[in-house]
Amino acid sequence: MRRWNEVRSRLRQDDGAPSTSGVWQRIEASRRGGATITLTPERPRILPRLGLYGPMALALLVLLIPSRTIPPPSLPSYPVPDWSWPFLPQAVLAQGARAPHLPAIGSLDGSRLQSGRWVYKWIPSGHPAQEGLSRMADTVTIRRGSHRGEPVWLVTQRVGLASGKGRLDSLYLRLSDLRPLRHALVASILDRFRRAGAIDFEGDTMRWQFVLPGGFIPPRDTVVTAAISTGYAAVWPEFPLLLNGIQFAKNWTGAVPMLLPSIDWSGRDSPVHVYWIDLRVTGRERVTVPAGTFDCWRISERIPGNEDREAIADLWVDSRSGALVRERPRGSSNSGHGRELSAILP
Amino acid sequence: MESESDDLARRIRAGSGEALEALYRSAGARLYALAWRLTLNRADAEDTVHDVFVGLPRALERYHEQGSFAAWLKRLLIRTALMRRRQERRRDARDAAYAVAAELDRSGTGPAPEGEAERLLAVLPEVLRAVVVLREIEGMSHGEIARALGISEVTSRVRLMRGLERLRRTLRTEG
Repeated sequence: MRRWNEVRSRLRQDDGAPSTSGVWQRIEASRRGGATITLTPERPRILPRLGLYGPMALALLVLLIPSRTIPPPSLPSYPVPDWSWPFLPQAVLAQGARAPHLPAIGSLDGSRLQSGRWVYKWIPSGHPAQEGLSRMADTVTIRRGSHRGEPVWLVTQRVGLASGKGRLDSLYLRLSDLRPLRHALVASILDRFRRAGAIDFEGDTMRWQFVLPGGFIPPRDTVVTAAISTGYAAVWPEFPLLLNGIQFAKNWTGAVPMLLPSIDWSGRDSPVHVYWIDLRVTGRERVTVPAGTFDCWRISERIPGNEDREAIADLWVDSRSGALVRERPRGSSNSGHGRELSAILP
Repeated sequence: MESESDDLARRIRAGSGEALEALYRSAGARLYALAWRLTLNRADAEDTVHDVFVGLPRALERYHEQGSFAAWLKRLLIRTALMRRRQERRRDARDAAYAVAAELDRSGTGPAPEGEAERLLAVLPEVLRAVVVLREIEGMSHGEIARALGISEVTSRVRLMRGLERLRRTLRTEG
């Protein structure tokens, strides 16, 4: 750049412009002739900054405004859940559509449920990926309520994550047979993006509604297959509760069809997966957990038709109350975490 | 010195032809040189200076005697020069036939850059040249350049960097 520096110095000393002589005469002539010229006004200094920050501010508004202006649905608003109960839905998604399973159970006995709160402490498998899970706990709260004038069990299931992220499921179960009437959920995927949805069950139809950061997704109907709609079907967060509704006995077997809404948060597609869980009583054991000592039915939980993950857990259910006392996953050490009843609260 | 300039500005605003001529005598050549470097065309430079001085009495209505009058006048000239070029380009784009004529006319009235400095500056696109001239030759700060050109200081810095890089490449090619 030495040459440029030389050129610059020369330009600074000598303007280098060709001489001009007639400009003042032109100016005078124009003025005498009454010419007026409007020169470009100086722009406010804020404009260049607006050019830089304006699009950024606009983008920020687009992100922030919808999530704050769209009214959330009338759901409990405390933070929560993330994951499931008590098995991993990924495992069942591989289940064949026509997988053979045990005979389906008939109906459940809703009168076996009781109001209260059950706290389940997570039991990590020991796999390094599950470090930290021991600090987590699920809380299942059951109380009486009503839904569209009908008496229901109102059940909330909260997965408490240290980060505050997660999900909360609310279930409205018909009092008499625990059939789901409404399943509402709130998932705080990120602190700023609160998403919520609700599924209403009306006969053989599931009606979906979602509130997403980008806007409200209009309700849509999904017709559940006739085979499922004629009998009992549960939604997956309901699983521990349906255990309460079953009168187990020695060598009892049965299969439960579960509806697993695969919620696509983009709102484009939200298919409903139906899968079967085989339950088989394998024995009776006395189990001690932090909440106390219970006489339990030991139950094997299997997902027929999925060779990799067919046997997924052993369950211990209190023979008196029907409450789940302990869950222990099978399979690889990272296939899921267990949980056990750590407290029963009024 | 500043008070003299402000006094001159007040008199020009009041319609004094003598004050306008006095300003031309003292600052005309410097402004013309700047217009020339920005446009690299004698006719455009002369037109720019003409427009500035004819339009100055009315433009001074927006001058609130804040900051240096000389700097304000320089910004006015820069905007006028660049705006003229911009308007010409728009006209050229609208009318291809006019563009050909204008090019012919321009080549007839204005000498092609002859000196090494002008030839170098002619290598640069107008947006880069304006920043290089104002910063490297006029010695203006990026803040002043940003204000004069209606751009951000960051843009001014980026354009200077790109302009100097292009000059460097040109000088390297020429050996």
